[in-house]
Amino acid sequence: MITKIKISAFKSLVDFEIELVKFNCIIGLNGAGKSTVLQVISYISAIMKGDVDTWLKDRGWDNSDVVSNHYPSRETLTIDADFKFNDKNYTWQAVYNWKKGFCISETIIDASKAEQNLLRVYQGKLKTNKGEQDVYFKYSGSILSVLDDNIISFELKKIRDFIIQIANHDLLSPKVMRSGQYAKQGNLDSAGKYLISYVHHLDRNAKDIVKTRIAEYFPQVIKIETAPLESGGLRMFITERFYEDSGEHKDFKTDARHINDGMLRILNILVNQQLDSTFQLFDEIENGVNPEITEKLMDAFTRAPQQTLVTTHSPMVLNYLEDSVAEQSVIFVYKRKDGKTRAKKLFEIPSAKNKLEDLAPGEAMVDLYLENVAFEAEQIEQIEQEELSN
Amino acid sequence: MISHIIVSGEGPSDLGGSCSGQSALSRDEDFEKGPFFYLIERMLNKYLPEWNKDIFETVPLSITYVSHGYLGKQAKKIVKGQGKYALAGKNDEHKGNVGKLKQAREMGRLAVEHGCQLAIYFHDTDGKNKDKNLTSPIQSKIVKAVDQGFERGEMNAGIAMIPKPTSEAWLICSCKNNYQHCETLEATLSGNDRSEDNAPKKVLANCLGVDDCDNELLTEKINNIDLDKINMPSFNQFKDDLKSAIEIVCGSVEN
Repeated sequence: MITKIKISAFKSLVDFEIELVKFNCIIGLNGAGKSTVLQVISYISAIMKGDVDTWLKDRGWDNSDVVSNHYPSRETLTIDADFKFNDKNYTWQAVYNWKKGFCISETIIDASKAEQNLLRVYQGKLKTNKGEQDVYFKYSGSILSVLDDNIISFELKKIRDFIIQIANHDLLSPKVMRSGQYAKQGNLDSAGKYLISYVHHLDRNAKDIVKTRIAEYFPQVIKIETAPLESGGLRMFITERFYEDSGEHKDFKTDARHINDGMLRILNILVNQQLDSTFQLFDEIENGVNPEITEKLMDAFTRAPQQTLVTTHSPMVLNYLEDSVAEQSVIFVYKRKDGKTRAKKLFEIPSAKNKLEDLAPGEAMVDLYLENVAFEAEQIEQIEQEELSN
Repeated sequence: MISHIIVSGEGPSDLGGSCSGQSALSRDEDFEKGPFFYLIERMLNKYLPEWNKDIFETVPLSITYVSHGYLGKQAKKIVKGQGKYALAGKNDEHKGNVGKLKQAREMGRLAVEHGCQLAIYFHDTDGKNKDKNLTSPIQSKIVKAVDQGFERGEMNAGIAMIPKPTSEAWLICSCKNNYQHCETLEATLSGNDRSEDNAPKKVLANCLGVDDCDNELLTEKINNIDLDKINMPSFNQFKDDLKSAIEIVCGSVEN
């Protein structure tokens, strides 16, 4: 699990720090930087994969689009990510040069043995517990993207695989999901491009599990089928059962092209939870989802096997969280007067915390003026900074 | 006839609390009156019709006290796990005060259940620097939220007691300028007790020539103020609302 991420400068995230738990829910005003938080996490994943180019291409971005307006000439991004696996803490520190396309320095530390690096890349040298060597080969992103499994330790492999398997769904689009593009087994893509393809590759049992889970939200669904097209693409059909007054039923089979957005989004979320991904990121989860099924959706998120980060504008989403979960999980993202994004646990801010005594988490969100909360959060941060500097 | 009232305040230095300090809901002997409860008693004595006061000679007024915390918990129990909440409408007047609205709603329900004829919900206005002016709606917004809460709790004689910025301001009125221009206190005193020199608690202590005002001193002060001379918007609102409630319950009110 990632427990903390620090970023030097990525768009509006300047000297930005965010603490994470297993389930995380970001709220904040439009333009505060919520989606940017999701972007930077998946950017970090792309750096670890050594595949920043694809990440940029998927978004139609240039390299320089990640540069912060606050430091337009800076060519490096410093990443500090803390991890916890089986009660052991690790930190990955990397300086990624976006112009050169790789990490010019990199360190991985086991917090319990801080003096001993598990990995260190510095001034053209690579040092691990297997010894030191010159880096004479070219690579993109992190050096871990090219190192063979048998020359790195189990711990390094675990950290690398965790970061690589972060799945960001910030571009989720029902239109793209319906397109039925074919891919070999793998992830579903941040827009859901390979949703139908993924379902197509599932065996009968796995398909049944997906069907059962989707029926928790849409009880009329009795079957999910896929079929290849001559053109090379795929089609998906969902069969729904409806009953006459006489008790007889009729089944209707609908092509994915005509399936409602909400069902496709939920199908995408449920299928993703069955994947090997380690950390799932979803933007504006309430989109296209009727409030009646929001509770089940929230249960699915809080019980997901993976670490999860979602953003929302919906108080109803928050209202379905237990107070104890909301206290830990709800992160308020805001922009300071100088345009830099900051994150703070919402219910650690006194005005929000007080409201939680009388109101459910979502009600508290509606009853707060988020601009005032941002002001309050900033005052707290200033006091904390002053205390630190003393 | 008023024979049983229910009150809810922030703590021992305003309306009081349970004698043991443990109970969220206390009645009569178990209720320890705070200084501003004595203000309520004085005002009831002044505005209740004579026939109603005569009854107290044989059957004393019964008092139920309920803490804000208890009301909040009751309100929260209802919403818990349901994901449902009152949606704010356009120009929603209660934003920022939904907690108080719900507390008043629960208090109204309790009042009806316990057979109380009058309910009084106390809360300081507090507020920030921007509220230090006579046109700020901060106090009236709390009053409206509390009124709305009582209405939802189906309590027709529930009223808000919301001093601006805090209850001490009503007492400062009597001692600082001999009851003159008291309304300006609502625009000059700080709503923040931690404020260095303009916090009502400190101003009142200075007025009374003490370092700190204890409940005994506050009660003594309250028992001696001239209720007719205090002319402050927040006090006048409470006085008018109390008189209206008495009129609703008793059919008439003393002036």
